[in-house]
Amino acid sequence: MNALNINNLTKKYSGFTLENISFSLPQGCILGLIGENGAGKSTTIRSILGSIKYDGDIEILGQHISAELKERIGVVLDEVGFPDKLNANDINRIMKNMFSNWDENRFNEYLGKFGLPKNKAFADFSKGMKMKLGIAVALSHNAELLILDEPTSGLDPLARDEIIDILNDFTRDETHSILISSHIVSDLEKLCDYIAFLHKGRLMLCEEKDTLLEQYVFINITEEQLAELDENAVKGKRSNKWSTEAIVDRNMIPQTFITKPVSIEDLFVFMAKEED
Amino acid sequence: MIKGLIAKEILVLVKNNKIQFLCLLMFMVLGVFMGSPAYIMFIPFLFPMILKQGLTVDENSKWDKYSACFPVDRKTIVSSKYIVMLFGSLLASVMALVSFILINLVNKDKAMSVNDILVYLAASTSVSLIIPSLMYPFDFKYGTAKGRLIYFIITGIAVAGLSSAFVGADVISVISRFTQPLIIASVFTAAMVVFIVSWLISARIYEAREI
Repeated sequence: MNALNINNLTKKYSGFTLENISFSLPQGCILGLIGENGAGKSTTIRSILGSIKYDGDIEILGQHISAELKERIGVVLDEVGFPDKLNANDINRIMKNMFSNWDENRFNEYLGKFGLPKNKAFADFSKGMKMKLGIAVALSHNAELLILDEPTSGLDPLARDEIIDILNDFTRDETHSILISSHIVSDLEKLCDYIAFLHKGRLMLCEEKDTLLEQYVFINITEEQLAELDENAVKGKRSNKWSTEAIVDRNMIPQTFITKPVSIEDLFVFMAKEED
Repeated sequence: MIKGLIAKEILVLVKNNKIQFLCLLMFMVLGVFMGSPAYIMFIPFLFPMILKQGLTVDENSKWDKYSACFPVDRKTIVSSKYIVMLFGSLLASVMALVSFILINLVNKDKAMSVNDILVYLAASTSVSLIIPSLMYPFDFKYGTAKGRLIYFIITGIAVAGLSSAFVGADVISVISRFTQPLIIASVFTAAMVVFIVSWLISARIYEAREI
């Protein structure tokens, strides 16, 4: 079963269109939505949550979005929206009346684990603390699917690493899945099983991370050699006076080329530039 | 789970408005010791403004966007605001009633009749319901900053239009033909109708809005 099925999602704004996006997140997996700022990651997530109207079809845990279904989904947005004067104790009071399956003990455990004070006003939290509080809320009502929009944006490397560890812990349960968006590709590379590239409102690819890292490689060649290759093999290239560096599909080039492994970040940057 | 939303509204109301609540108490004390219901009538005028600040807090903190993550539909989110508004109106009227009773105990020379108290209470409840009921649909449609401006413009046009329509009419003599209980009942009913219609309109607006 898929935790998430998105079919032909289209959303038009003046000056931007999210165009015919389709991808699935298998249950028990983590899918990273990678894209530059303004690529359409947040629009995709807002569509999933039903915050905006869209064309297409979205199924979450086999159902269409509803208030009841949100009991089973934990969400962290890029800005955690608690009123400034509330503290963690107040948040607990609110959430235990909001979610029928709110686990107060687990919430308190997360507060302890993240080092979050219970009586300090939300306004006095650092950005990292705010994000951790949002994650604590998302993880404290027995959610099966976590949807995270840029949860590591603006955080220092240590805080980002901590958050990635927490998310890895969450998926130890095979029924738990995560959809996470970020423009910090290195974070997603550490965490995800599947990667989807969004660029200017279009889905460039959605594939298993290991398959991508296996399938695509760097080669250094001349422009003449590049011209001889099947154009479908070349996903992107960068040329200078002396040579050309290209990312190619390993299965579509002769075995004689000397290849170097790519990172997901390289692949995204080369593909996005090729699209432009 | 409307209980969670109401809990949040009350926590935000209490934590953001300590000074404003002290001001309301000050008007109560002034009204009681000066034997003047005019001071006390500030309470139903000011209370809705304090409640309405909750919408601004939601916008500034991005709670309105974040609430899309919770197991509540849009209608429930709007309903929580209106339930708190009703609760606020009730509280404002209770504060007014207590003040009127205290005037009669403290300022015996300025004691108010039961009829007077009922008229003031009807006015208090109506004002504290009608003002926010007229404003909330604009806030849900345009956001609080733009909504407030549009509300003032439309209210200004409506008041000017009504005033010119009744120029020369002897409104007081028309009203004086009705009995006091009928006036009280009419005002209260009108307030409730405005409140319910506003609730329905706001729910429809917020359901259609992209957040």
